[in-house]
Amino acid sequence: MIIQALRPWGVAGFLVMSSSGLTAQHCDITLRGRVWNADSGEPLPYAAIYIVGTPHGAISDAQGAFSIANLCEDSTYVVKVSHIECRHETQVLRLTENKEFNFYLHHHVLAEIVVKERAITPAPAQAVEQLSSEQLAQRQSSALGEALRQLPGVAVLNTGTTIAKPVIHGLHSNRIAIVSDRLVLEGQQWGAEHAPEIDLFTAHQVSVVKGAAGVRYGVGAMAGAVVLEPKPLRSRPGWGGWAYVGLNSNGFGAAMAGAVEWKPAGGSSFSTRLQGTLKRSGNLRAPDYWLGNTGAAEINFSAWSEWETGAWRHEAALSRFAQRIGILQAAHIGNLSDLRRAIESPLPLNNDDRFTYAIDRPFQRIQHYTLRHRASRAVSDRWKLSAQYALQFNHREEYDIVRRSGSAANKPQQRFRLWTHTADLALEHSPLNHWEGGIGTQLLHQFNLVGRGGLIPDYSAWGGSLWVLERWRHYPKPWEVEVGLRYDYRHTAASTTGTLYNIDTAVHFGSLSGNFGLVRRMGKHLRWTLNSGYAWRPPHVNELFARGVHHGAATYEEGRPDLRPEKAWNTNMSAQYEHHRLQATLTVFRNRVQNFIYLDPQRTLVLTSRGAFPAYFYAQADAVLYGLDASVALPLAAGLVLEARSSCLRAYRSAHDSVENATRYDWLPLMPSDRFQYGLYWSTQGKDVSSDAPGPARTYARLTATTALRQVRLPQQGLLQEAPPAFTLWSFEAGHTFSAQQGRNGYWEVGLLVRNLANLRYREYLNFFRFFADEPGLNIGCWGKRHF
Amino acid sequence: MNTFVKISLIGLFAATLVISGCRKDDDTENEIITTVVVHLKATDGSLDRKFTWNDPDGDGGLSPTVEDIVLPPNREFDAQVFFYDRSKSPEVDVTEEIEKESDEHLLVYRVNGALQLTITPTDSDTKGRPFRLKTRWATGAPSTGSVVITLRHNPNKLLSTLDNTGSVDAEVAFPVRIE
Repeated sequence: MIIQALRPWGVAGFLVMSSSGLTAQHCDITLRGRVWNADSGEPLPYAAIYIVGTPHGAISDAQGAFSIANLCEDSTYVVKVSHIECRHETQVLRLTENKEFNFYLHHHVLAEIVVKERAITPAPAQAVEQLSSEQLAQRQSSALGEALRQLPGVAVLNTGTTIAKPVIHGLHSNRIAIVSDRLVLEGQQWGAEHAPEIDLFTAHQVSVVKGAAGVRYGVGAMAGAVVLEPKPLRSRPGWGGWAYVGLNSNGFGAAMAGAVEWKPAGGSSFSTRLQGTLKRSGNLRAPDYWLGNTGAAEINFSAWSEWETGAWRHEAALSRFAQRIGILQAAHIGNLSDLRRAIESPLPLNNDDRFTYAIDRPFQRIQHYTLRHRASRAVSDRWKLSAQYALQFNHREEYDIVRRSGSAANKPQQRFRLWTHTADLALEHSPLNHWEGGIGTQLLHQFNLVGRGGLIPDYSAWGGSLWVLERWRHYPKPWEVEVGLRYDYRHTAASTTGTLYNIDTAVHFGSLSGNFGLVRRMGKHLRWTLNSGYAWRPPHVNELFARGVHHGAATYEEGRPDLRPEKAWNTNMSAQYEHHRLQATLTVFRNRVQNFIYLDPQRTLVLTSRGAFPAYFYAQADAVLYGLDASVALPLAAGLVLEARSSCLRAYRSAHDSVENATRYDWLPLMPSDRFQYGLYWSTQGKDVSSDAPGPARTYARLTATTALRQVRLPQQGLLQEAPPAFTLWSFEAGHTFSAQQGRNGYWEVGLLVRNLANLRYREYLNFFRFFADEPGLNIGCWGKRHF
Repeated sequence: MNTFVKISLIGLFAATLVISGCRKDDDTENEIITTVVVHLKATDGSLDRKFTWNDPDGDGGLSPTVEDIVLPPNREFDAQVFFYDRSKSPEVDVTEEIEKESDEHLLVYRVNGALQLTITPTDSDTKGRPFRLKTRWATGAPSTGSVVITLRHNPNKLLSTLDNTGSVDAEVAFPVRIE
């Protein structure tokens, strides 16, 4: 009866009992956790968490997080979590040890519900930046690199406008890992002009781990990782999903995406989601001219299901990513004098200065397929076993400008096919004496078929690893400790066929990596983390065996077969302060890389049939990268927040001068210049943009200025010593979330994103095409997303 | 139903994987010019010789070999340039493709040093615009220097100066002696 009466204002109750026993009471325990919308998987803000019979309570914040301090040890508490839009439900939780909890609340529904309680996996002890749900919603149709540009410490390495790679603290490509749904993306990441094959529409949370993350994510994660997580599958029977349409004024681009979710009725454990994305855009426009051949097309598809058989819980996912991207024709140069002329010309040479959707040569065609199966089960009440097998197939084709009547007219000029099999086995445990973590192993096999005339030889690699990662947490103690250790082994056999330059050789590398992290909470609002990690990376096949002219850079590059692995000692310290709407984060880091692999300009020229090219040989030296990232959000008035962020980096390597027999220091090339962002953020009280709750409509707007300084720390040698001047870009974004009409499910999100508001003419130092053309001008994007 | 959905999803994916994996298996092909030959024929029939710039292993590796062009003074020669890809076997005669697409190609000659040599075009492309695969070389007094021959792709032939338009497909320098 009471339940019926309360239903519109539903209350969910949770009972938390600590283990019984009478000891002297210490009333300084903190209960922490997050409240989630079980239907949408979104964090649920403004949920009331209170402890029955005590004055203790809290309201969840925008991320659904809450903490209740000053609870007593060894007491039994009834915790109630309620939300104005959630239906009544009861759940008894048995808490055997203090830890963080996720509470999943359901909306008004009549069906029977099971609330799932899951312990939160501790966040890495490294500095972590996360895209807010608003930022992600605004940029779902962008490339991964572009979307991450907002985050302090993250920069973007561009090849023109169509290819973007994330850079973490100055390092990118093979030195960072991109982890999508617990699987490390295996593409041709060695190439600076090879963008990651990621569809952001599949991501629900995107975070960047800054610092050595090799223990968690493997040898690729020497400098950090980009971690994408999908939205959990539907836990309630029925249908759901969303549909998205977005338009961009620059390039007259359109993106359409949608997802359908289904869980059958009748208590079945099966749940599934199908998702698809279509994107198309034409030539982009710089303030003064069209950027010829910068169109792009993308078609992606993914499916994900989970079900249970007995004690096993299965998850199967498959996805296809397919992209065709045009490359600025003005960047096609034949030799060094072409490049010199292009640099000297204020306007792009040989530019097709008009709008078209057509994608002509040169272009890239990329497909990435993933097939993944994961099975897990509890082996005891503390231990969980999980196994995962994944197959990834990456197919990259590069089409250069060729003669139409020649025999190459219908063929790609470069083609890479990479098959990667990975098998993972992990045994994880919930806290044992306050230690939480697991051990695991991974086997990997890769086969890369490049074929005739490729930049790199064919190779076949296999490897294995063994890791252990443990985290100590014991509330109310303010300390947390993370310790990780991992051993990796890689064996690579490379061979070429059908060319005059023959390679048939094998190399192998193995090394330990380790990580030590310390978290210290000071009071309710301040959190310190210190993380020190030792990570390594075997030299990649291109660094060992590459040989040829790098078009676009007009350099001749040659690998070195005797390179040794890079070893990095990465330490970062960060402080986070969060009190109401005041937030501040400061991260300082230092990364010392032994045997850092780089391209060393030679004093010789290599004569080819297109003229002479400056030679760059791969070389190794010790390098140091250090800097700081900071961000602050300062509430000014109701709904108005002043935001500021900055990223600063210094990176140099030692250079041995054989003439003077002394060690000099030289700046590393292509390092992001210092960058500052500041702006105003305004929002109305109301539902979170990503929440499923049919609350009052909510509106937000953000005006941001980004200032990038001129990079003045440039290597002494090398051709291209000039960096483009400093610039300040303005952008504006706004969003509005509102419920669908009365009596219907779901809600709408609409958004507006204006980039380069002043239509500024500028060039980015980290864009390889800075010599050829300006960055794109004003873009007005608008989009709408309907959630069912 | 569940099993059916699961199986069909897996089946569908396997099919896409197989289909696209085997979609077309023709190989890649790079357009390389390893060899440039200048064929010079004196108008009075006193000389008929081919001079070769050759780098059969492509970029890097072994250095290219270049023949010196030695010409008698005060004569005229009919010249034609030939391009080959000798990294493939059998060698590919790229000249045929260039002639077929003469409107999208242009040759540029640059005479360096004190060399007493004038080069004038004797041909035009399919649209009546400069092509310069065939030229006439007129030698002056004894002198030395070099001739740089550049093959440009996709030039804009409507420009007033044609020396720098398009992108470079081949650029080789021949040492020349008039004696």
